[in-house]
Amino acid sequence: MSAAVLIALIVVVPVAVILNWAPISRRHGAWFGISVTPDFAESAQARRFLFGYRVVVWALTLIALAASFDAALMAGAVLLQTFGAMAAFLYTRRLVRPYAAGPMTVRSASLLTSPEGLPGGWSAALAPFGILAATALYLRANWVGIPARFPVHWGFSGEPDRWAARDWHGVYGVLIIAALLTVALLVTGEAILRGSPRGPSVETAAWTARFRRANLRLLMVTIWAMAGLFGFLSLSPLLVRNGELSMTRVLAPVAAFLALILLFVWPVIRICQEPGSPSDGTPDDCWKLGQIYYNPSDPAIIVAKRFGFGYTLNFGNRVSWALAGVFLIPVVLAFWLV
Amino acid sequence: MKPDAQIRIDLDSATPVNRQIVDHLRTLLVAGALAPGDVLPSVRRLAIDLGIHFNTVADAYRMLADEGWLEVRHGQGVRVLARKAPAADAETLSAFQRRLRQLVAEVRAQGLPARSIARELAALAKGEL
Repeated sequence: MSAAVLIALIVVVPVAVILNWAPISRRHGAWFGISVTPDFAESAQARRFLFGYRVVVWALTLIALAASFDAALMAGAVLLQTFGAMAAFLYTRRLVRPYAAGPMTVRSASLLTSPEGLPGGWSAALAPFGILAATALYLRANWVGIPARFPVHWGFSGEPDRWAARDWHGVYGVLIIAALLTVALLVTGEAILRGSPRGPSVETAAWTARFRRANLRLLMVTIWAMAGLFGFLSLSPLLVRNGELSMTRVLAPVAAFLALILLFVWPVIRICQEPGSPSDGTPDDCWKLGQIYYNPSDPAIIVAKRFGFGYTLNFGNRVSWALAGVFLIPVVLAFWLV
Repeated sequence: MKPDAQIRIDLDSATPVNRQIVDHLRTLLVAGALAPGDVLPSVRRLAIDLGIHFNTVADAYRMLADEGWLEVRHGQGVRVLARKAPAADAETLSAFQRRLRQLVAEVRAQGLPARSIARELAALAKGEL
């Protein structure tokens, strides 16, 4: 099997499945990112819109799969699938707009001030730093056992194609990035707690509280699993034998990490799909391209997504840009350190 | 604080939002739904929950603090105070009568019978807000 066909199978097909399923993984108060009445999704019109979108997604997927037999066309085909699906989403969104429920002008909020925190408290939030620090100390203690050069990246053939040297950023780089990502995720958790609305109305506050809790649990599991995964990956130089390290030894914990995350993503999706899941109360016009929330009049830093699950930033708020910057630091450092 | 204590605003109303918050909170305070010592959501929390500007909520809290209902301490939240009702003067009574007449005329014009209005006023007078 050629590398291009392999990419087609592990990229194009899963992306198609996600694109096919994404429109129905939404709150009942939204359809293609437009706020609608909860029963709209069951109407024949809504189903027709969904069918049209899916026809485009699968037609693009077939084109991408056909192109995968020619390695030169592969990259273009993957881009065509992604951007074509995005265009289909935006077109369908435009068709749904006339059925919008209208802006929510009556709002209510509870006056109760029940304290909320990250699941497990701050001790659970700080423990992953302990895992990373312990790994760093172990590497320091076993410095002589680390080869002068070790693989850090593998090609599709399974052969290593990039190596790192036994210096501070080669050995500790992964741990530093994991620590910075942990900080960014914890800041996100605090932003969800302090900077997201508890629901556009009191009637939907209970659902919002459960949605928020499930997202925070997912976030904490991600932090812990990431500390474990990055800790293991940074220990991988000690597993090098005769100058070689099998890719499967690295892939196995990555697969375990993804499986664990999916386990906690599922409850969030289920909560989104509940019949009682409401509209978020944000104005439709503030969702640019249906995905990016920009509302300078809304003091919220972070809001629930309209399409898919989880939260997204309010780019109309300057604090949100600072939060995006916190995520950018480890990404930029990753290019330099690893 | 009663567990169902809540605030409701209408962005389409002719009444400014800060005034709506003041009116709503004052009603809860007079009715006893908010008791002295109760802690209200911070300016930031309430503004985010209602999707309105921080200054709107801060204005409303400040107005109620000026009336002696709330204590607003920067960074320490908003607390309900024990407040003694001041002795009403003739101007207060006259303003009340004026507003009440306007309101009664408005609801009678909308078809509410005088008997219903009298029943509601009697309940209000007994403190059944």
